[in-house]
Parts: sequence; C-alpha cells; structure tokens
Amino acid sequence: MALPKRIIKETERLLADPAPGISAIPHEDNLRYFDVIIEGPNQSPFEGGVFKLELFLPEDYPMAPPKVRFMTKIYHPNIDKLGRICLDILKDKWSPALQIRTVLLSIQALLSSPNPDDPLANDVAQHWKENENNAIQTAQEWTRKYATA
Amino acid sequence: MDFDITDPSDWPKEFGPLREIDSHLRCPICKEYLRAAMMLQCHHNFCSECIRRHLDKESTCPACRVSTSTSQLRRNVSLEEIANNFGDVRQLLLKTVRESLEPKSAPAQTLECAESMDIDDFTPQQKRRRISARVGKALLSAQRGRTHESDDNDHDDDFTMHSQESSSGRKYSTRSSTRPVLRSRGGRSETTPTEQVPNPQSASSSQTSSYSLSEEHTSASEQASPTPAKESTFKHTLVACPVCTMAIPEANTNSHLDKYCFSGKQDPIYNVALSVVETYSPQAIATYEKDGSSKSVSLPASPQRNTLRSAFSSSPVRFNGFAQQPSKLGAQSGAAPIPEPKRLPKLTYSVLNDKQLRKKLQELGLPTHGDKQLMQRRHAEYLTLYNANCDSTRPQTIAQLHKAMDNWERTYMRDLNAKDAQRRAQEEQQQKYAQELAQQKQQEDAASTDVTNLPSSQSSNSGTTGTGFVPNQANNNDVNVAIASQAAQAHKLKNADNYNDLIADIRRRQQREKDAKAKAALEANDAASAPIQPPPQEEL
Repeated sequence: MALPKRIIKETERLLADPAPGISAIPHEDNLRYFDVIIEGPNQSPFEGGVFKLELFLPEDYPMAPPKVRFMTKIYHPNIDKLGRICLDILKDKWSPALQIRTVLLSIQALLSSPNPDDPLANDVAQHWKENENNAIQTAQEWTRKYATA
Repeated sequence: MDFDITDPSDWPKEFGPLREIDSHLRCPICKEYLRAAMMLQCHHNFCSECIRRHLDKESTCPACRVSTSTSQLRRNVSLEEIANNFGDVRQLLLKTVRESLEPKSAPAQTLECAESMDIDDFTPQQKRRRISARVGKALLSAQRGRTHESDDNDHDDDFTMHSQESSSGRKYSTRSSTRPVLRSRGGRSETTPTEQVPNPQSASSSQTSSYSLSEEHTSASEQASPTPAKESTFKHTLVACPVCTMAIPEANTNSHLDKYCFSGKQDPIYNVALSVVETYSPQAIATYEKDGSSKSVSLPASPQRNTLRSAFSSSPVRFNGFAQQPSKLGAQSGAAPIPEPKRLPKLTYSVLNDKQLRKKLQELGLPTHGDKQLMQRRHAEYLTLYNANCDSTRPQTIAQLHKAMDNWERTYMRDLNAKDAQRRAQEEQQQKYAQELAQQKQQEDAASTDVTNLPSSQSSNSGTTGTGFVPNQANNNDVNVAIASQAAQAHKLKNADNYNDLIADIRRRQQREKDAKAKAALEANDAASAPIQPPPQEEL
C-alpha cells in the first residue's frame, strides 16, 4: 500500500529536526514501524535512562492513533510490565491533528509526571500512592538497571 | 515515490513569517495546502475531504475537541483561494527567496517586484532609503505584530540589501529615456499599463526595457503584474473597470461607470478587457488609452507581452476547472453565478439491504460487485469525495472522481488481499504450532508410557520416541531429554521456509512412529537385543 504523503513528511521532519531527547527511526522494510528512543527527562526518576519504544502507524493513520509500546522495562504507574502505555491521546482522545512528534513528546511528559490516579500497573500505582519516595527510588533503580545504555 | 513533498520548514528561517503563512494554509490533518477549506464553528479550518472523513468517525474538532458535526461545516472560500494561489506560486517564490539569500554573485531576481517599488532615477543610496522607508515600515510593521522582535532587523536588512542589488542589476535598462515605473497597485486589476508615444530615439530602448521587465516578471510573483508606464508626470492610466473589467483610463472611471455600466450599457469606446489590452504593444496601449478600441484594436500585439501574459496566466487557469478567468476573478464571481451543487445525503447502511444498496451505487454510476461491506465502504468513500468536491472552488469532473474511485477500489482490493494473505499466513503458523504442540504431547505421552512400562518390561520399546537415546537406560532424565530434543526439533521446523515440508515431515514421522510401535509390539519380548534405529533427524 502506498505510504501517505503525510507519513513521509513526518518522517522527514523527525529525522531532519528531532525533538530534544527523542529519536524515531523507521524500519527500512516497513516505513510504518519506528524504533523510538526517549531519554528520561531531567529531574524525573528516569533521568539518565535511555528507553526504547516501538511505534507503529496503523493503516488508517492519521484517522487512528499510532500504536506505541515501551520495549525497555520501566517502573511507572501508567506503564505496565508489557510496556503498554496508559495515555488518553493514544486511545479515545486521539485527534488526527496530532502527529508522531506530539505523541512522543506526550510520552516524555508522562515520564516527568506519573499519574498514579489513573493507573495501568496497579501495584506500581499503589506503591506510588503509599510511599512516593520509595517508589521513586525503585524507579531510579530500574532505570539504572534496565535503561542505561 | 512522490517527490512533491512540501513543508513549512522549506522556507529559510530568515523568512519566518513565510513559514507561518505556509503552515497556516495547511490542513492540520493531511498537512497539505487546504483543498476546499472548510471552517468549523470553532473557526478551525480543514480540507473538506479530511474533515468529512474525520467526522464520519468522531464528532469533535480535531484541533480543539469541541463537539461538532458535518452540518456545521462552512466553506471558507477566500482562505481556499489564498491556499491555492500560494501553492501555485510557492515554487517560484521559494526560488526567489533562496536566491535573495545567496551571496551577491548573480544579480538577484527581485522579490519586491511582487510587492511594491518604484524604479526611478534615484541613486542606490536614495533608493535604499526610500524602499526601506516604504517596504520596511509599511510592509514589515504589519508583520511585526506577529513575529519575533529579533527577526525584524534581519528582514529590514534583507529587503534593503537586495532592493539595492536589484536596482543596480537593472540599471542598464532603466537608464533609457522612457523610464519604466513600477507601481504598487495592490492587485492585477488595478495595474496601469501606459506607455508614452515613443519619440524617435526611444523606440529601441523601450523594447529593451519591456524585454528586461518581462524577464523579471516571469521570475517574480504572479500576483502582481507591474507594467511599464510613463514617467510619473504622465496623467492617463488604464485601469480595469470594477464592473465590466474593460480597460478604461483612470480619469474616465466615474463617467464610464455612470454612463454605461450602471445603466447596463456597453461602453462603445473602451470595450476591450484590461487583460487583453495588456498584451498590446506599448504604442497600441497608448492609442487605446487616447481613442478607445476603435483605432487601436487592429494594432498587433507585441510578442514579448504575449509571453509575459501566458507566463502569468498559465498556472491559475490550469487548475481552474470551470472558470476561464484567472482565479482571482473566479473567486470574486465564482461563488455567485455557479449554482451550488447538491451534496449527497448520508445513508443509514444498517437499514438497507444488499439490493437497495446496490441500486444506490448504480444510481451513482459506481461498481456494484462485492459484499455489503465493500459496497458500503465504496458508497461512503464516494460520498466523502463527492461532497468534498462540491466544496471546492476548483472542482474535479465526475469522470475524475470516478477515476479516483477506481484507484480506491484497486488499493482496497490490494489491501484486502494483503490482509488476507497475512491472515492465512498467521493461521498456518498457528496450525503449525498447534500441530507441533500435539506432536510434542504425543511424544511426551509415548515417553511417559515408556517410563510407566519400564518396571514391567525392562527396556523394550523406548526407541519409539525416535530420539536415539539408549533404550535400556530410559528413565525420567531420558524423557526430559526426549522432550527437549523434540522441542528443539520443533523449533528448527518453525523456521523451515516451506510449510509443506513440515507437513510431509510430520506425516513421515507419524508413519514411522506407527511402524515403530507395530514393530515394537512384535519384538516386545526381545527388544533389548535389537534397539530400533532412531529415524534420521537431519534429513530436513
């Protein structure tokens, strides 16, 4: 199937002018499939970490949201152990005016501000709510253990 | 692959406002220039096709999520025209802009030509002041409100820098006795082509100047068509009558309007359209201006002017499906005289049966094959295309729409086939996996039977597992080894390219097993003496 112009355009922009701390590189054999790397934001428990994600643009993108998943283990109340992300714009709040860049920036922002009140990983969220400092410590440990390049 | 990929970032960063303009003229959904711009109640604009597609699924504005519906869509004709024309001139403008940023090596083609300037007998120094005063203040102060302060100096410099270049680059031609005056008149319809009746000496030089100017025009924006005029002391100028678009001397405008246009008559003297007059030679224009069409209309048109006109008019006309006028006139008159085509109503597919749906498709001249789902999708797709086309000021013909539908049909079928193939492959994979599992289980059962059999009949038929360990020493460890090697074998097979090979192999092995079992039953009593040769594993 022909690749829509918009995807080509977005890919070009992502390669030519990447957002700080984010890189997205398409697979050569499937230009709808991206290898994404997001650096853990400063002043977050994930600082210093380098997180790998995969991103897939479904056939009806941009009418349907891209599918994104963390490949690197991460201790985060909104990301489960399979790497699935709980983010409204990836689900019901998707809009075709959004794009790959904005999605990845949103994920980066989610790392900066975990939201345990809308959890995906219940145990992590519980931990976060009960003892935030301890949870952050665990997140830092996981970052050191799994997300250092 | 399509190489026609444009993006606001194509504009040099020195021209930040152009980037802004570019990005505002694009649809937030498809990122192309707005095609048939539609505005929602929240004042966000989208391509008609894109927003219709989106509203089929959701009923919110993609930009601000305010709830909305197709009934709230309103055409935004002027925005569409701006987007169309900007798209038309983009390449040219981009080239001009880029050249203007290059070091002075070549005399830069001018950007100001498209905007506003006078070429008089000023020294470059005076000129610089004048233009920075006019362009810099008038033009840029308008932008200043929206752009970053830091950009301002750049812009002033840019404009003054190459206005200077352009004046020096053009000097040889403007030094003639008929100095061309480029005037800012805001738009094509108001530009005033006049030319002094040439004196003996200027015959050749006026040629030169008009030639050099036409060269500049082709490289400059098409929006303005400055034409050679006499020195500023010359009073008479031709303008297009706002009502009948005929060329009339500016001074006669009011009398022409009162006498003819407002009373519905035709002016017997000035009755040639300005765009036509502009193609005349300078002498002819001057004569027309003085005496009207009766005398000058027979004069031949100048070849240079002709090429100039065609260079300017080609692009708007090319896209203008129905209007022969340049798109600007089309925009003014386009909405009113052409009756709005009727939009097709949406159907509630769930209450239609196949036959009714087929009939609907037939009425629209669409293919009627396929199951209900395909017909439904086909109808929905055509509805989107058709209704979006109704919103366009440059609509396509029905035939073009049908061609687009053919394309859609092909893509759809291809995708369907691809998906089908993918699904089949997946199924095969699953089947294969299930078979492997079953096989493995079987082996496992066989092995455990062996184990349970062990106490009663020492040794015997453990060769049936076909994994080649010594039967006499069969125990739990051996069973594990058997399973592991089976798993390894299965994994190896998983990667086997050909599925048929796999099936054949499995059959072969099942057969072998059966044989082995039969054999084992026969030789049950003295199995230890003749262990069954394990089947060759590496034959794949």
